Amino acid sequence: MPGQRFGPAWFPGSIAAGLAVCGLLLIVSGLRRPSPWLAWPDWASRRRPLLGVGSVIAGLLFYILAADALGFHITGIVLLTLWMRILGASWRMAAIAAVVATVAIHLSFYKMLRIPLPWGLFEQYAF
Amino acid sequence: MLFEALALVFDPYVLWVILASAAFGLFVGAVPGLTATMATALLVPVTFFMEPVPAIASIVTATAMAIFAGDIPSCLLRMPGTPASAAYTDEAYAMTKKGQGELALGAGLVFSVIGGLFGTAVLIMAAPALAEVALKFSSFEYFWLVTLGLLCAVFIAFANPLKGIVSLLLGLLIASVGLDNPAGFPRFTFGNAELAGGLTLIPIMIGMFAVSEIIRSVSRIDAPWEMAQAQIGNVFRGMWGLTKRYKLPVLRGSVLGTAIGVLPGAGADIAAWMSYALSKKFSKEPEKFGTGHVEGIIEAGASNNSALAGAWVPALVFGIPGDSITAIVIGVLYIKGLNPGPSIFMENAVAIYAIFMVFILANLLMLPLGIAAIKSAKQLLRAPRDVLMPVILLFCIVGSFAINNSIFGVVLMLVFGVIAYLMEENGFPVAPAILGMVLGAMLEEHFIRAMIRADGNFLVFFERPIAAGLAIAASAIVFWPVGAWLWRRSRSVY
Amino acid sequence: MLRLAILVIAFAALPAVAQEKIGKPVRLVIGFAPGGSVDLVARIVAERLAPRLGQPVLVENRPGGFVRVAIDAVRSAAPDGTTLLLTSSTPLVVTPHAYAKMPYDAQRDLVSVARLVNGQQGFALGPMSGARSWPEYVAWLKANPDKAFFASSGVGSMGHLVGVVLANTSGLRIEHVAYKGSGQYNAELLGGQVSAGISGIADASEFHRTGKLRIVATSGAERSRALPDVPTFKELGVPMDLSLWYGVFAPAGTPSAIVELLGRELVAVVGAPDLTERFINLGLDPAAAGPKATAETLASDYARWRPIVQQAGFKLD
Repeated sequence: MPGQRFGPAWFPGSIAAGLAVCGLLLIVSGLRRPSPWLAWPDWASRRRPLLGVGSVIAGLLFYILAADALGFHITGIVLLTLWMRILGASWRMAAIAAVVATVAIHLSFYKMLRIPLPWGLFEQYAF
Repeated sequence: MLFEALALVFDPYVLWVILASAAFGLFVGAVPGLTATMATALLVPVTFFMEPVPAIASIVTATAMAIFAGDIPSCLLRMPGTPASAAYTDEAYAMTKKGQGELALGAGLVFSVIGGLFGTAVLIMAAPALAEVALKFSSFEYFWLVTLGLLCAVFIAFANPLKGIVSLLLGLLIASVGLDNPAGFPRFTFGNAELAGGLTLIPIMIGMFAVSEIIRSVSRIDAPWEMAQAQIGNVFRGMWGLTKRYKLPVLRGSVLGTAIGVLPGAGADIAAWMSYALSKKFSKEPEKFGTGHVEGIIEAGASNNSALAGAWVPALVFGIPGDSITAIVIGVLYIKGLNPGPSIFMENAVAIYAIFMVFILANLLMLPLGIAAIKSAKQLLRAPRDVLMPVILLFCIVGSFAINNSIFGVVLMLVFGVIAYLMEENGFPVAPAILGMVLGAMLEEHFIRAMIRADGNFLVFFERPIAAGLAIAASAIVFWPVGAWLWRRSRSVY
Repeated sequence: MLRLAILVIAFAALPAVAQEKIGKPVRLVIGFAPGGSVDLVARIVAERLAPRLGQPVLVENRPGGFVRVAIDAVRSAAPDGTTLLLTSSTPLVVTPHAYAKMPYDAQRDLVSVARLVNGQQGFALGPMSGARSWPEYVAWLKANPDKAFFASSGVGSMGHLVGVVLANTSGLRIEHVAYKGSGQYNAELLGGQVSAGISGIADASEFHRTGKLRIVATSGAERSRALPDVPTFKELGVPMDLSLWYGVFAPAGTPSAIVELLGRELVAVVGAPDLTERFINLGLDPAAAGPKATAETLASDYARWRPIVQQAGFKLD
């Protein structure tokens, strides 16, 4: 562009340069103390925390992939029930809380804040 | 004329609108992902059917509440409700873990009110004069101001400044994704329409704070969960003592907040970050910052609420938005026939006085409503963790979706949640990354524009008086600690 | 035989009639941040459109790349009438000629729903030059060549193009500084950091009215109704006819029945007398037109702007 010696690549380029410098400095300071290159967190060896963290990530992925098709209500209730169960709630508690929370969230965000959460399979009942 | 304004404000309908908007603002601010700007945008269709005074009153009240309400989940759950709260989330959460959550929130509330009242007072008394000063700011000044703000991040990282800088650079890199740069050139978009819009701040903020915290919490599921809570007692206990002890931080925060708010385009977010950093810089006990110390919260809390009021200065005086909220408000003013500009003070003085009164009222109202909100939040959080965490996670999903009504927000939340968890496990603070994102676009925009005006000559950046002053301040921040370190090294050699 | 034909035709028309209802809230997407004339027009239109459609109409701000992000968002949305784009014609008929490669094609990716208003650009002077008219400004420019910058609300915007054409036809050297929207540069204009700004009349009209800025010329063929005593560039001896219009568009593939419905309602909204006055105050001339007329205007404008852009040397990549 005329008159612009600093094009669009300048900003990210400088940042990358800065990161490279910092990265080198970090590596240098890290080499001074002997420690393994890659370490698993200690909770990864225990079943319950591993399952918990895995379900958080998997659940979010499920929402991303399925919410539009299935709709917010179904996805929300399924996810909440699953998560609550994994964290230790009873089936009854989880189911009730899941339904109540999902419906409450949907109503307040859709009706009050006008946020178009996906209806999915319930498209025909949309209000 | 004052009586006319009083009559306008203390009309039952207006008062009811104020109350309802306050509740609305509280809700929106407290949900991570919903911002004060969003609250304003959502109120606009509702205000179409209202007279000017209740319309403006609703926005003023809702935004004041929202900015404070963002502190509630920020303090109790480490999930900032608005970007302005992100500046001191870690500090507040550390206080909660020490059992001082109520103190943190109470201080946040009281000093937010004080800051807001200060900003309102400045708005009432000095708006036209300040606006003229604000006009003297060009890209050169803004560039140095933003640089100053970014350098503040060096102070926010406590343990390892190097890692703090890496985090900051990461934030800047994230900010450079997309089409929205001075050249209009698509960067890092890989032809994807979503990426072309850039990586939105809010979902990333939710991911980095909330999701990573949830992952951490779940990974500790075997350990008993104590939400170390103090008694829900008198929130005001100790506030007077705090006010006396920290009167300088309060003043400094309010002044800086108002000043930044007055500048067009800089709002509560930036004010909060800079105030928090300044608080640490000038504190008599800087080593306490990061362990759960109330001083930074006081200064930053006062700052972000006073910035809200300050933003109305250029908006009313010139019709130029002081922040994203007032950008919307100006539109509403035009629609209501209240054209901002010098004429508004003459032609619609009654309406202006009424607006000022609403400001005062809204800030005072924050006290009882804020206390109610804090108490109900504490009650809500007594729910068992296995029910609470998933519900919070669902709120986060919706909050990330809501900003652009796009599922891509949820993707961002997930990706950066994991990244942030990994970062923090390795000692990289998350807060500087958020600041980098907030300021990255501004930094580049002002730098490029200033360069065009300077025709490529960087020395021009020091020519203008205010710019030079800010540049000196920025250099001082960089060179002072280096100089002090060198000084200590040379002393210790002998 | 005739009765059978009529029955068949009636049945064929049935789905079109049955579809004439929008069942979900409508998103009106614009390519700029809140605050600003496009945002204002969108909110005014949204308020009036909602009761007519029986659905809430929400304004969605998707700033970035001079409307490019908003266009992307709309053209990839579901073509059921619930996502609409409100934009000036510039990114659809002007900007494409300035780039060798474009990620969108307005006539292929979008379907025209309605035209709302016409607008033109105003050349606004701030206090920096001390000039109060175009000839005075030209004199000042010649005396201060190093301060010859003009601000516009974005790279590729109509203001940018007007400035380039101005420089070409008048032989003056004047450089472009891009801002993100006019709110940003108004501060610098008022503060005397930049001498002139070119953007939609609405962005400066209020300042003009109170005397803080001075709009010394407009870019269209005739004087704007909002500023009857401001001459056009043509009158001042600088040949120019650069104006734009605001329109509403839907993703390609939207059923024509829905497009017709939306077009009808939008034209009715713009036709309301009190809105007319409001638009004129904003420097916009109501010029409502339905889907077919708008599509024709889009096509003819696209062809019309190519030589203008090329002759101006308006190249952005």
